[in-house]
Amino acid sequence: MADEQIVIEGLSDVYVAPTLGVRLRRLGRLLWRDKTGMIGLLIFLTVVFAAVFADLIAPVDPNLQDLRSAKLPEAWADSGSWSHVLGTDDLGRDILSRIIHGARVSITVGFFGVLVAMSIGMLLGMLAGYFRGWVDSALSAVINLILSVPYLVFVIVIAAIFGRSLFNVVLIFGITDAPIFARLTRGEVLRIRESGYAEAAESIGASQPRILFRHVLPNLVGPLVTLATFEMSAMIFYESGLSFLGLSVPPSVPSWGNMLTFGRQYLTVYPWMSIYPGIAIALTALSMNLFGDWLRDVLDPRVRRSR
Amino acid sequence: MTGEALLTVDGLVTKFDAADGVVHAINGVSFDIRPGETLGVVGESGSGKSVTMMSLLGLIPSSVGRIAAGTARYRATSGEVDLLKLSERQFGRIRGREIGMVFQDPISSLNPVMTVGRQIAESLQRHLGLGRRESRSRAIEMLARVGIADPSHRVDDYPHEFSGGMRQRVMIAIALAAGPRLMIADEPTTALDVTVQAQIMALVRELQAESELAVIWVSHDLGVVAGLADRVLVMYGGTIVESAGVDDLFENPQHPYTRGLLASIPGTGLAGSRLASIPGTPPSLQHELKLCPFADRCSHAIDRCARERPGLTPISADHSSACFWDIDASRQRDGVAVIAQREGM
Amino acid sequence: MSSLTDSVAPAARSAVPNPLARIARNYYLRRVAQSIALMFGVIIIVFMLVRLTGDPASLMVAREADAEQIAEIREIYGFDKPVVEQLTTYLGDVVTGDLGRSFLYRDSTLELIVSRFPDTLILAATALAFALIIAVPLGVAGGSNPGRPIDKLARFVGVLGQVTPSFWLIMLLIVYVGVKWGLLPTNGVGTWKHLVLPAFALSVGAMGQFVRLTRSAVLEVRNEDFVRTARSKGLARRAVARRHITRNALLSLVSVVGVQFTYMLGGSIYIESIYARPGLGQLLDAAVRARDFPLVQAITIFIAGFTIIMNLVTDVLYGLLDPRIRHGG
Repeated sequence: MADEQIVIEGLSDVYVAPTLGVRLRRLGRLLWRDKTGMIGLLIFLTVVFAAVFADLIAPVDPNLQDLRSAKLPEAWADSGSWSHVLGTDDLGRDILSRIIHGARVSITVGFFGVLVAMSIGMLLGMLAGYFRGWVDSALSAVINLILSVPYLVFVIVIAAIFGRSLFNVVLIFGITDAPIFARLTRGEVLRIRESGYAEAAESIGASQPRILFRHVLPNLVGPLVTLATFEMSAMIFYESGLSFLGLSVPPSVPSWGNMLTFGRQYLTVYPWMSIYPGIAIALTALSMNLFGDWLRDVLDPRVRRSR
Repeated sequence: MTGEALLTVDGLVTKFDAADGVVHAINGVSFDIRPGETLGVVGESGSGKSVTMMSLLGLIPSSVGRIAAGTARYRATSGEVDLLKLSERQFGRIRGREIGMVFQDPISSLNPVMTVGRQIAESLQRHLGLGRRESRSRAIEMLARVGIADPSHRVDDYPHEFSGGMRQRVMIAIALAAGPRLMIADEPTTALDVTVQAQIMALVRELQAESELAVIWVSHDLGVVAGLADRVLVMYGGTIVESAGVDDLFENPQHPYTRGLLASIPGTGLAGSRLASIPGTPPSLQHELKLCPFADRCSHAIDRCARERPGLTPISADHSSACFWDIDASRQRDGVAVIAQREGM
Repeated sequence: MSSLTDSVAPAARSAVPNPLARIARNYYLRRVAQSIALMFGVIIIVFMLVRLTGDPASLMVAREADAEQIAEIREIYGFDKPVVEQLTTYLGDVVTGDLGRSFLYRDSTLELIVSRFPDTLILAATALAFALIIAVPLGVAGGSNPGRPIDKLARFVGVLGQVTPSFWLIMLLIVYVGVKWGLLPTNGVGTWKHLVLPAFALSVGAMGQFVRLTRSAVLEVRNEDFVRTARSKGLARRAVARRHITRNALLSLVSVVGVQFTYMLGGSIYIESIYARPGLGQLLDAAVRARDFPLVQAITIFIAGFTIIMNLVTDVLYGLLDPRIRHGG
């Protein structure tokens, strides 16, 4: 009787998931209370919307060159025109339209890059945490190895070798970022396996894979979603950097980094060519960081407690 | 341990602001302690023992909770003060100098990156105005006093280089460094094993014998309190339900809760036994306490217990209980003070 | 004086210096061995990466280059030999201090790197100083006053620093501070004035992280039990903040300062090429653009090696500052 009591108490620690609807509604309420998180999400959704419906909302074709209205400043400047709100570049292409289309590259890289990184990372992390022993040692060594090269340098080198295409960039980010997800997953698997309730579940006869899926995965959702948000933000940030170095998508594709490369040549005479794409990068990264901070507060109870 | 009280607490009320409303943690606590006396405070976790002590030393963060009512008159060397009305600056002259405090977990309660000598010296420099060298030699003396072998070397060690019991000795040295007259020990031996526990208790007794040090010893372990205290307060639901001399309490408990605690200890071997659970759960403190907090777990409860809240009422000299029912006589007790009532009843 | 000495005492009694030093030395020896292994791992990975596409020679020359030119490069760099043989040769070279020859500059890569590195080191060190001088006081002030205006400012700077691309910021600084207001030089090296804009632009990422980390560490340490102990001693608020909260909070900063410093070497690729500073970053930029793979490979290995050494230094430093690590082994 006493033993039974202990087991049940142990299991009461387990995260018993309420229905999805209830959880989403609760999250929604919490988000409404935290204005910065809300603003972050709204800006981010705007960027996603721009990326998905770029063809519909961009005022003009982003690659349309119109030399008669080239090098126009933003609309509120003295010689600006409201037909090109954020001005035009040296070839007369509409900067606003190019920024809207540029969101496509950023969101694609961020979304698919994280998807690849998370898939590989979770798999490796689970293997390491589950089998422990030499599997864990080997995987941890590889993770440490990759993490010991400064990320930016690593990405630059790989991008330089593989050449510029959207697919390559996604793959590079996906693979180089996987160790971070693997480390998180591994840590969480080990933590949960060693905590009381995995043992308790084991003692009442739950199988190992069952424990992994019933107890480890639900506990991983929060930290993973949070990490994914921050990593997506980082990938968008780094992609613009790669673009800027001429190592991401081809120069013909409108991307924020590419726009900055063109802008750099005319920096002192037509600064608007550089200012607005930069704002797009910073604002997108900002929105995801604000939203990510909120997510971390809400989804990661260990962090929340310390605040 | 005769004469005027060193500390007199009257009607202490402490409330916490939680996300979903107010928690009424302490609901009118009154007691006193005389110089040289050892007061044991027992109760389950959540009964308000620790919160009471933290309230007295102004250690409840203002972002979390507040003291809503009460006075705590302390006879400081420089005259009487009300601990509940002191500013943070004024507390600086009380904490450490007048009242020392020892906490439960000696691992987390010591700064991991500062030598124990410096942690003791800090108090000496602050309160006695000693210089670096003097405070260091006094710190070595303090370490010797609390029974640390080879103190002149150990003074430069870091907390992690000490065992649990040794760390708690260091904590006591810190608390007593500036020569306070009252030491509040909040479950100081709970994290230690039984032999070490006994050593710490013996140390405190020895230190008390050297001076007129008064000690408030908070514990959920009746055995510890039985072996140490002169007088015992039993706390429940943020109130004191019984107060008596230690022998009186164990031989003649009056409150049903105290009886429940004692009955759950097997045989006569009180030493070392933990409080066993009584059916039911401690009260939620979400509402203002307007009835007996123990009513729904009490086998003697009568209708009145759910309508009115009994106050701590003297039964004999130095023995009080907060209960409407006289268990031995199986009838309602006369003259029990009513300190709150539920409306519309 | 007291007869009540704990019976368990000898077990926890700190060891006399000799065995203690041995344990500490062992720990550091172990870390050094680990670092060397890591270094070899990195060299192998970078080496393999460059050869992953098959033939680096064809990557290195212009598209219109004829087969003869490609074959020549192959022979010069030994790309025609089996990969394992190339690797062992290269590892042997690296051990003797030869990181290969640059295709672009026709010179020893190590000499190129060594001549360019001091400039980058000065830039990164200045940037690190900027970041720390601004971030630490701001983070401490914010964490000590949660919810107050100073905390809002700290959070704002923390986020802003992390989301502002340095290559964009340096462009803005050149346009406004340099050209429009004419306050500081717009490019090049020379006086301390030439250092201000690039170092500041390079520092913002680290600054953001430092502010956030300091702030949250202070918030966390404030709630530690030992801070309560410090207050219960009657210490003044400022003494508690300085001696107990800030000191412990800054410990967690030590581990990221080294990391951020190495990130700055990577970040210098933008700053140096935009501000026209002839440092390591600019060299890497030139090497990448010219597809000079021997040089790219050498710089990568150099930066990775520097990173590994920095990590080692950080560990040692951390051990000096945190007695738990120093004695824990």
